[in-house]
Amino acid sequence: MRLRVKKLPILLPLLCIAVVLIVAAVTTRVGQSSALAHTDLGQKYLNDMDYNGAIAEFLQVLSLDPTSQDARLGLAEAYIGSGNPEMAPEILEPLVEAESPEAYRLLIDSQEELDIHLALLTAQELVNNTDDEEDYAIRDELLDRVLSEKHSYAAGWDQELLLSGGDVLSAGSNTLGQLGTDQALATETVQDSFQPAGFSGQAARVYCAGRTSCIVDQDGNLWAAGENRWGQMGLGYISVDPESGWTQIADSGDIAAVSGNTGMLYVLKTDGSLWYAGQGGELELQRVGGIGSVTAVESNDRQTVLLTANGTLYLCYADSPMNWTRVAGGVKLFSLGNGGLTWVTEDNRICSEYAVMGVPAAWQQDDQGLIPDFTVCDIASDSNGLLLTDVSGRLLRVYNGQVYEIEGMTVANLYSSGGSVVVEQEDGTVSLWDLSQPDPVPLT
Amino acid sequence: MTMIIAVVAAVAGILMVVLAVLLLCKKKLSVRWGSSLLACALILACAGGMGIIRQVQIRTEEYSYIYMALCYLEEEQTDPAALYLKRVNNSQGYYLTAAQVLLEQVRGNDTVAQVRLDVLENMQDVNETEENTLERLKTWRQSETGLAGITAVLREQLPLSGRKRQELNQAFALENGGFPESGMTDMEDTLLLQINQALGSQNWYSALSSAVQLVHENASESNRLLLAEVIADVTYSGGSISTNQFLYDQQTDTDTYARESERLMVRYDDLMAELTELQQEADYVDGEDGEAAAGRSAEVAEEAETVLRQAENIFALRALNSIADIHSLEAQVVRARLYYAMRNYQEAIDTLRSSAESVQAGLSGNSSLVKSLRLVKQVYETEGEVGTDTPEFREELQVLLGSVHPQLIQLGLTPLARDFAERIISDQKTYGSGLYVVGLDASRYPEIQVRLGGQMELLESVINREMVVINDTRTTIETYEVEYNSTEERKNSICFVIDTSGSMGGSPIQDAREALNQFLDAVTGNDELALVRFESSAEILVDLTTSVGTLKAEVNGLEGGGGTDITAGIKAGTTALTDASGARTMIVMTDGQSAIDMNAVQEAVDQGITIFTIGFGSVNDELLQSIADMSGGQYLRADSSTELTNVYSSLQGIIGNTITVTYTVENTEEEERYFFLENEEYSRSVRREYYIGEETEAEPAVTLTSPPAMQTREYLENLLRQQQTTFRIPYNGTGLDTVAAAYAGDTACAITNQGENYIELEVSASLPDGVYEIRLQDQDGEIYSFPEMLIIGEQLRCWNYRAGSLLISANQALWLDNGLLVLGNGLQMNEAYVEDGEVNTLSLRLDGVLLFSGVTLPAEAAGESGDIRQIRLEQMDLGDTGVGEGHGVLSLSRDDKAYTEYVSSEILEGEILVEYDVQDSRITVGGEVAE
Repeated sequence: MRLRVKKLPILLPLLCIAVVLIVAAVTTRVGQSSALAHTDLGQKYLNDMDYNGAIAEFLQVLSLDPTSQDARLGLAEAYIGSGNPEMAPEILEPLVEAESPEAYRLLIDSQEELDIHLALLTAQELVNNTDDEEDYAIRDELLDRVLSEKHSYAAGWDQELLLSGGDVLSAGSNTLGQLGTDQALATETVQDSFQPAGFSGQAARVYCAGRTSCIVDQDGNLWAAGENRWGQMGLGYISVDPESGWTQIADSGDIAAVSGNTGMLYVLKTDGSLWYAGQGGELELQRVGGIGSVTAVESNDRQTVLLTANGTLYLCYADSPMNWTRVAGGVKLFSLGNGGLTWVTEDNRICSEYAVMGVPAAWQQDDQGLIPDFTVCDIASDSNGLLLTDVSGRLLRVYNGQVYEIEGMTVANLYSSGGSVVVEQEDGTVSLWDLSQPDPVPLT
Repeated sequence: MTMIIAVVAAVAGILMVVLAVLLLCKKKLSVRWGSSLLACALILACAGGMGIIRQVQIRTEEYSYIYMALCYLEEEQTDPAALYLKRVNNSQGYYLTAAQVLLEQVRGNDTVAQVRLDVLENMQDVNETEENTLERLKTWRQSETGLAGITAVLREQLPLSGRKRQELNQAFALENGGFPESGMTDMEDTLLLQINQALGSQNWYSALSSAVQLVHENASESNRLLLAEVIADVTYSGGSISTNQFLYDQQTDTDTYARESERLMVRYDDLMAELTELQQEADYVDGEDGEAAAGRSAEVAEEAETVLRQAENIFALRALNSIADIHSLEAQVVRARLYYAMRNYQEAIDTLRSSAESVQAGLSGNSSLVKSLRLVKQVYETEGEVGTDTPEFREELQVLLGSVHPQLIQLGLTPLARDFAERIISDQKTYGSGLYVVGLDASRYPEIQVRLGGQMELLESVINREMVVINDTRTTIETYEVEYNSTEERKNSICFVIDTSGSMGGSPIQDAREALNQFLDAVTGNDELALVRFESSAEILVDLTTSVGTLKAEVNGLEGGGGTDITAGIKAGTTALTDASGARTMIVMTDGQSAIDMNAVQEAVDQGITIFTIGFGSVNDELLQSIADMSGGQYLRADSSTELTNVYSSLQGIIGNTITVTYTVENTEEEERYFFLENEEYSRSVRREYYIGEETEAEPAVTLTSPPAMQTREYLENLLRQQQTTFRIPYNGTGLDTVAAAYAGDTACAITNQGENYIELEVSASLPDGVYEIRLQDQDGEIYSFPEMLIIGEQLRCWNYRAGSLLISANQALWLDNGLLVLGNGLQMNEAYVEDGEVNTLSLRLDGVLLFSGVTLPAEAAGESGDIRQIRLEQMDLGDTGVGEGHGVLSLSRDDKAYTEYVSSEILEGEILVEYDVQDSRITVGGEVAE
């Protein structure tokens, strides 16, 4: 005991040195941040919905360990949570390349509000990789949203349909009953203004194919009026006399969209199956086989173009029915009017059947297409120019090498029909736009 | 945190010193305890003081890095800036984040810049000046001062002394080609800066001279390592090193390496001289002697290359030896660089990996180096690590490779460091997929056979059914058979088809040669190999052989030049594989855009060849993908030719391995189907879509395409009167040259003339009235029947008929006694009733016949004599409702209101049924033959 007390004054400084060394060692270790600790902290912030805190932590993790998957997923989630979904894709890219389902799901989350067509492509890739029913549900929900986009105007060969305030109106020639009414049936008289088309159901969307007019009602059933010389209405016969009135040609409740040109009708169902009747002697709706799931189909006078869920674009000329040729892959959306075919790829290239008249100076151009200086969300074209929306919701008119931003319009959908570009606004206004002109003309 | 502890320790230490002194002076404490307390206090105070000094040093160092980064950013040199910033450990500080924002902005990564800017905005202790800076960071592009302005603002804010700033400005100027100021007296510092500058401008001679001089000045471990690093870079970049440069080195005269180098160079010169002679001989001498000379010159060229390589590497070997006594972790990094410089890539990477777990790593004070090394080890050991092909990881590797002398920023940016980093990144990439569908056979649907290819371990897991899920069109397949496809004891016949176009010249062809050589090293003796090169045309360089050596000799002679004709390459490859005895594989490598004749691919496929395509550079991905898809191979994409080695080695694990999975589909309703297989253990899945449509009926071998023949009784009677017992009918069709016998109904007809697309039959003129089927029998006895192809009856002299709402005009009408009216020989249908103001919307044409049964002739039509041949009517009425049946081609005339020029006017072909009434008439397909 005495020995200890005697030696204690000597031991004390040694003890002190030891403590100093330990503290020094510990602080050095603590000073070196551990990726794991930051990940945990980031997750905690994420759970508390402190997205900025989470972002800072996950960024820290990535600078310490660029291979951390948790940090990438967490960071992407934090960006989406903090209202910056446009930041997520770049962060998730390495994981998406490695086909991580979690990364795909987050990517869809980040895309669906900004760019639904791209989200749908991603969702299809996800189901291709996982074949998981829950992922199919994600894909189907997106497909449903895309397929139920407004389509209140359609131009046929010599008739137009307009869905206004729940009523279907028609204008143009009624030679073969394409206006739906018996007014001036089988005469050369052209009805200049929109008049009620005599449809008594509740219409949801309208389409035209040649001289045949179609309505998809709110129950998803299909009605048609007008020409059926090729049996394109799918009723099993060809009509030889002009008839007025609307005939229900599908009561399956799953009709999403219709397109076609003279002699041919294409019907897209909500399950992604495409059906046709008409040229080639098919008097009843037949499945278009061997092209997989379809997400969009549109026609002009001479051609029909379809887009598959996998992003492949196919084209078929009206005089060579069912002869589909592949146009491009990796396509997220397209527009087809009498001005030609224009499509946008998933890597944001605008490609066109005909050369775009006047490329804006800020855009790049390579042999695969035009690369605008913003991300295209939707597109429609006529023979004069392009009308686009971008991911930040801007509406842009491209004409003669200039980009004009249009203010004060909230676009619900835009598409080409006949020779015009159609703009449907959230407030229900439907306008036709000759893109050489600064303003659209509202239809009344 | 560390700073606070240090300050607290220092203050506490000082207080304790005062206390101890006081207590000692006042003798409140024994001398023994007093001194003990004093000692403790001093230790604490010193430790705290040292801690503070160290922290200040670290901060100053980090601020200096940021300062330098900003200097580089001003010059838009982002790579050195990034490396400087990467050295800063306190990654959440305001200054660093601000500099990072600017870096990403200059790089054009606006998204990342915005992210960092958000972080910056959310920092809590940001003062007013810094908030202004934030604004300037957002808007500097629009301001007049631009990048210079914002970097100056950020530099200004860094808490550094004026003197330090001056030093840093000087260092930056020196790194960028300036000359040392006269004020700089420290020789070593000056040399270090000169080396850095020379490395940056790739002035290898100057870098090496300075490094040698540096070691001469002070042969410290650090300086010796630096010299070794410089030698590595010079060797790798092909800079020349001469022994003269080592004049400072006292040992030069006795340096065995230098002597060896000289000896090798002499040998090289000799070989080159010999080569020139041999080449001349080969050019001028014909026959066997010439060939022998050519063969010998190839050998000499190869030897010369080996000798040159040895000579080039000699200084790297010498450097490796000269640092053999240094065992630090840093020395390991230098060794890795040296191995890499000598193109011993595997050894270089292994050195890094092994040093991560060495004792030195445990003891090293360089924690960031240890961390980086462990990261490298980790990415090599973890399967499917992501995020390696990112700027962050790339910088991490460059920092690692430059970490021996962090003050020499250019060490992390030399070609060697960059390529080394890229190789490590490339090693992590997977090329092609380890599991893929070679082909799917649904011809025995609902039985499906899927051939899968890929890496053996993945295929084995399918064979062993380990964590494997198979679905078909959203239904899980529980029962399936798996068979391993053994191909003649796994013998492969591989033909390499190599693009040697002009764009492949230089390093791409060099990389391709190296990749091929590595592939060949791993080839088993059983495999047959061939080599084809293509540019504007193709040439088989080596026919199928089992001699790897023969192939290697040709591979090493591959040079670039000419255009790119991939079709020619594939055709030559197909020819080279004609007599292959193993599983036929073609490996096509190209770097260029080229159109292709897909028939060449089809020919290869028909010969059972699987084509793997490898592309890099600006290739047409879709094209190469479609070639691979068509032949059941894979397309492997590399970003650059440096990745080719890894691409070929991925391929090596895939070629020749296939299994077949067979199962039966239960839910058969859906036509658009897919096969899906997921290996949950390896997180790999494959999917192949297939379509089960209605099988289109095969076109019969013999057809008749002409409209039916109509013959009047009157005409036949005339013939009989003239003693002619037969009449002839020509028909068009297909396959008619194979017809051996023909019948009209049951009566045999003679064939008077025939060709592939036509036939002329001789029919008895005494056939009674009726509708006859024509039957044709081919040489094999097969009978083809064509109903309603011959109609005999009384001619009705009436050309217009009304049937309900239809007005039908016919060029010919026949009346049969049983009430059957046959219209044909060109039929036109129009609307019967067109009211005032209306237009006739209908105009259809039928090339065929229409039969109306149960027709009664109007009383006035029968004529007084009752002789039908006397009847002549304007129009005959077929009633308000009824049915006409027949066949032919129905089309739209130009006058029809539905006619447009973009659409084929043909509406229906085959059997048709016209149902008419006054209001509404319809035409459908599939009328029944009238009785």
